[in-house]
Amino acid sequence: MSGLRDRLLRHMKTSPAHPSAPAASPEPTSPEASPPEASLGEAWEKLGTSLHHDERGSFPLRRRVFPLEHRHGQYRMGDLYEEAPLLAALLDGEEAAPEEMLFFDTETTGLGVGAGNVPFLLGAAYYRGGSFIVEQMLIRNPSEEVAMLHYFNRLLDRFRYVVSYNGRTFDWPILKNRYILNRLVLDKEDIRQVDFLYPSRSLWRNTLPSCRLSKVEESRLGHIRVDDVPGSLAPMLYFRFLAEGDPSVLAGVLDHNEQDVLSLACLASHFGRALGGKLELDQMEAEELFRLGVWLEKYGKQELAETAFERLLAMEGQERSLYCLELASLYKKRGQDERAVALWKQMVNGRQAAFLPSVAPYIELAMYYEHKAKQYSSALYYAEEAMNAAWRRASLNRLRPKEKDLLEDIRKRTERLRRKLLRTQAGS
Amino acid sequence: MKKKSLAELIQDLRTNANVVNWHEIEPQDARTKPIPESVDARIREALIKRGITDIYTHQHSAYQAVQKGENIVAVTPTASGKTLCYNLPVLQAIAQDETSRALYLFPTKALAQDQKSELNEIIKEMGTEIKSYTYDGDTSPAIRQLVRKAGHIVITNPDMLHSGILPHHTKWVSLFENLKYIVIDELHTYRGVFGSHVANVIRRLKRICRFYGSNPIFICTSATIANPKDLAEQLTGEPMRLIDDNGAPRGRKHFVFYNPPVVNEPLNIRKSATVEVNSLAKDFLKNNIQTIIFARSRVRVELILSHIQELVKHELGTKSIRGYRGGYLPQQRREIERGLREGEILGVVSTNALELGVDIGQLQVCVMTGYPGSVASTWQQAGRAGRRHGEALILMVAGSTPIDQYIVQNPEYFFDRTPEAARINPENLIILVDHLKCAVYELPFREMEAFGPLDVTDIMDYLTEERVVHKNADTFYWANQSFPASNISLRSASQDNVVIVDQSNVANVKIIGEMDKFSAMTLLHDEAIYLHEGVQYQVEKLDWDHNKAYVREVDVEYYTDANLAVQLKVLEIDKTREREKGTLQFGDVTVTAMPTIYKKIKLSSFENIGSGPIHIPEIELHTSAAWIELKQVDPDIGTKTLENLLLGIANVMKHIVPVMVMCDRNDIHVVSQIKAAHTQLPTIFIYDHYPGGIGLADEVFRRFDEMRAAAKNLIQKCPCKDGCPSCIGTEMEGSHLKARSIELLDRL
Repeated sequence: MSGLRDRLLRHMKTSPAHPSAPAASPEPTSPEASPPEASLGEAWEKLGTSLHHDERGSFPLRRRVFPLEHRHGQYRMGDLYEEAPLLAALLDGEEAAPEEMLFFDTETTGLGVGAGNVPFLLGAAYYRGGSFIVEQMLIRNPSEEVAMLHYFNRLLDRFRYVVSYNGRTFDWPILKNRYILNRLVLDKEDIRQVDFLYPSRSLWRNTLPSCRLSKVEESRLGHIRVDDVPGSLAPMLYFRFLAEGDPSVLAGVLDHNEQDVLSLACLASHFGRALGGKLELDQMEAEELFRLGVWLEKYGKQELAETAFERLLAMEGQERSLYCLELASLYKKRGQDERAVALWKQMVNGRQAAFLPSVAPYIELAMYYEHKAKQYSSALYYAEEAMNAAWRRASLNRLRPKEKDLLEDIRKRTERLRRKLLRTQAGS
Repeated sequence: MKKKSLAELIQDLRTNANVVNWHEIEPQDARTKPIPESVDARIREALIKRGITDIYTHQHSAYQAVQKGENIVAVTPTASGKTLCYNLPVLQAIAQDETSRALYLFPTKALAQDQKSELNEIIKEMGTEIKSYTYDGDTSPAIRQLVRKAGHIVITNPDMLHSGILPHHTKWVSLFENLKYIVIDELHTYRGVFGSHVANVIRRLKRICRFYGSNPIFICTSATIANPKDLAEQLTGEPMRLIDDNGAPRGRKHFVFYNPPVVNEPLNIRKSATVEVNSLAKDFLKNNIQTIIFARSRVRVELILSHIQELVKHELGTKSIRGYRGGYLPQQRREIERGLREGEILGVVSTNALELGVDIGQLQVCVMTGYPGSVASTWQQAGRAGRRHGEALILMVAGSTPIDQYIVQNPEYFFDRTPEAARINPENLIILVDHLKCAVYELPFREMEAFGPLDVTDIMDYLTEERVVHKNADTFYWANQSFPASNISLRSASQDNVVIVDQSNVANVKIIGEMDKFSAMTLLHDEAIYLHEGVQYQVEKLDWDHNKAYVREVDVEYYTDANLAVQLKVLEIDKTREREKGTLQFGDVTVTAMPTIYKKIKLSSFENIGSGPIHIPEIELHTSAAWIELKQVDPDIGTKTLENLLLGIANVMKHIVPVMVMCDRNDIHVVSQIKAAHTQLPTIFIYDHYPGGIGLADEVFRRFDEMRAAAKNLIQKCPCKDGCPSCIGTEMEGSHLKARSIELLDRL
């Protein structure tokens, strides 16, 4: 271990200032960028970092430029220029240019949002001058933090949105902690947060084994990572670097973080396409179609939602019927009674021969005819059918308390309907 | 039938042959001063609305001292208006400057809830927008942010402060920047290991305050203990002014010792204290006199409760006599407290759970079933009876244990003794290291920074070597993935609880209570009769792994009583020192507790009517211990005498060790064994009652000679003839145990 440190020290002393690594270039756009005054040493340069230095201090910075043609899974980085206007729904209805978004992800020393969890790597990426630029700020020790925070504060000034994955409740609060702990001010502390974890959960919470970014990008962006160092190892690797001083252990962490911000930009394109109705619906399972419809509806895209639901209803068999009831209650909530009734009737009719019909559509129909249509005889018919169906289920299950309650409810409903029916007949 | 007054009942009691001692505490008139000029007009008006035109002397002194910027500890008996000692200065500060903040610490969530309701009443009458909130595990996430940003007064407990607030201090900037007062109520409960932890939590709190530029004043209140000022200073690390000029009025109090009659002369068996308490309490309750009955165990509480409810059911509804103990659900307890305050509930049977300052108003009679175990506890319980005007009666009914009998037969022993001191040792290395980790997590640590009175650079260097912290230039930084506070519990007892599920009504299964795992072993095993609010339940199944006990209501004529076998196993001997007559050793031990069998005992006659086995895995405590084994024993000594000799010395050690190592009596256990399992030799074990040990036994090993000398000194100086509960235990006819103990100690 000390051997490693000795080696590092030797490098630091002997190696002359190396030219920048091919993909990295010193910060040209930052107003304060000054040429690096000290070299980081060979090991750091191998990582593609150079030393950023300004009046607040210095820290290693890796800046890599990706052309818009760069492919990340099935997306090109430049795709967002086309899809960005469609993202407005996720941005409180405002249209934003890709240049206004800062794609942001951190690597931290621990879990949770306590004061002792330190983001040692800030990954920030943005569109500028026909490229996608990834800037990764890293601290070699805690004394470099102030300079890094200061730099980030300046950087943030150029953006209107921070786009992240779980950043709203994790990365951003942790970053804010660091400003408080260093008695600094983050000028745009309340910048608008666009957290892609939430739409991902809305769409895929039941389709994907987990809504982690790596799962989403693999299955929905078609991007497969090679030799990825999982984020959960980042703290351990950083502590190893702190103890041993060899920056090469951080190579995988930097790459992982870079992949994350690239995925964020492509995910933005993906959600843009989804909101524009440009996704291929044919490949989707019933569950995903249903969630997509509900999600589109939430953002006021009625027509697109309808397309998804129609696609769902055009499916066949088991898969479809599971969602019929949910869809019908959605229609009911919306006040589209005829559509709901049509669906319930479809279920009831299609199921008459079924061994164990579901009780819910019968009850829904009884409720509809009683309260909305006020056709008590139809209501009574469905209530009695509900009773039959419920009994068939209950007799197989023995009588559990829940089912007893259900039967009791139906019994009350039938009685009430009989009384109402009598009264209307007497009145007429 | 005409109801008797308390005065008449007291008169009746005077002629009762079983009363062995009658002690009267003279009434005291109120000593008051006008509300100080400087008090804000809105507060003054709110006080006047509540009928307070003058304040008691101690409230006045507290206010004045705090205004001068002094930290205070006010010693206040129950119901002397202690809350005004801190609410007055705190409300004043906020009334003057709306940005001021205060933090209230209570040992339990229940006390915090009480305080919030009381505080909000005054605030409402003041007509101001002062916001006070409780912040604990029960606070809903929805309002947490509001509490953090806008709470003027945040009411919490040390555990929450330790793991929920300090590690997240960046969310509490407005509290810490403007913190003027820290209120620590029930100071006396912060003793032993718990108190040592809390003292370190407060060091961390003060560090955070310094970081945000505040320098709050501490306001503490405590029940009567021997050393309130010392304890407060040690706990807060600040100089304290002691406020003890209690000006609250007090009626006459009768403190009566009652010894149940002997029912079997030859065997010297007395009537059971429980039975006597039942009938005594019945007399008061039937005459509509509000009474509190204390019992030492949960089972005892339920037994007395069901008996009394039965005895008075024709005169009073069962709802007017209630039980109170840990294990009842919080809302049930709140309801009982309110009922007592408002007088709807006439009687309550309680464990020491009501010793703490929960507000239940003032009752007229307090009956204790046996000696509560310490002088301080006894006075705390006695304080529950006594209104500001009129008489009150405290009745201690002795049990048959030697200590109970000694107390009632030697009343001066109790009345002449000062209450016990509360001790803490914030410098305990293990506790200190735990909290230093939390402290570095919260804020980087400067090389020369002190933590309490200590220079902790050595510990920091050690943590650096362990790679828990990282040193850069002159500062130590947290460098670990973990969240240190979550692995550190301030209380030694495990927080694991068994939930009690009543499935009497299959359609309406409900949770009726909860119990800590250790107690559940003997109270909730399969087939146990569990009493809850006087209703009998039988445990149908104890699901030990999932912490659930399923019970069903029953009506049977017996209760159950379980035996707990406690064993000590030596795992490893780390250090050994040879002495003249014995060997002193230190090492790791396992203490195992396992319930073995339970007995069914008939309710009416207390006779044993059956038994059964209990199948529950043993509970293990792995800890460190010091022990002394006797290599050679005088062959003339009989086994019985040897056993008593060991018991006697163990008893003295129980007194001495907590004083010498500065811990609570519950933190260290002393056990004597006539044949220890690993050597077959007579042995006295002294072990840390804390998982993993916290270094107390180690200190006993290192300073054994001091302890031995102190023990000898205590026995020699004790005025008793041949043993009493203060030294080696009770007198044993003609065995000269006192002399033998001194001789043995000399040669160890």
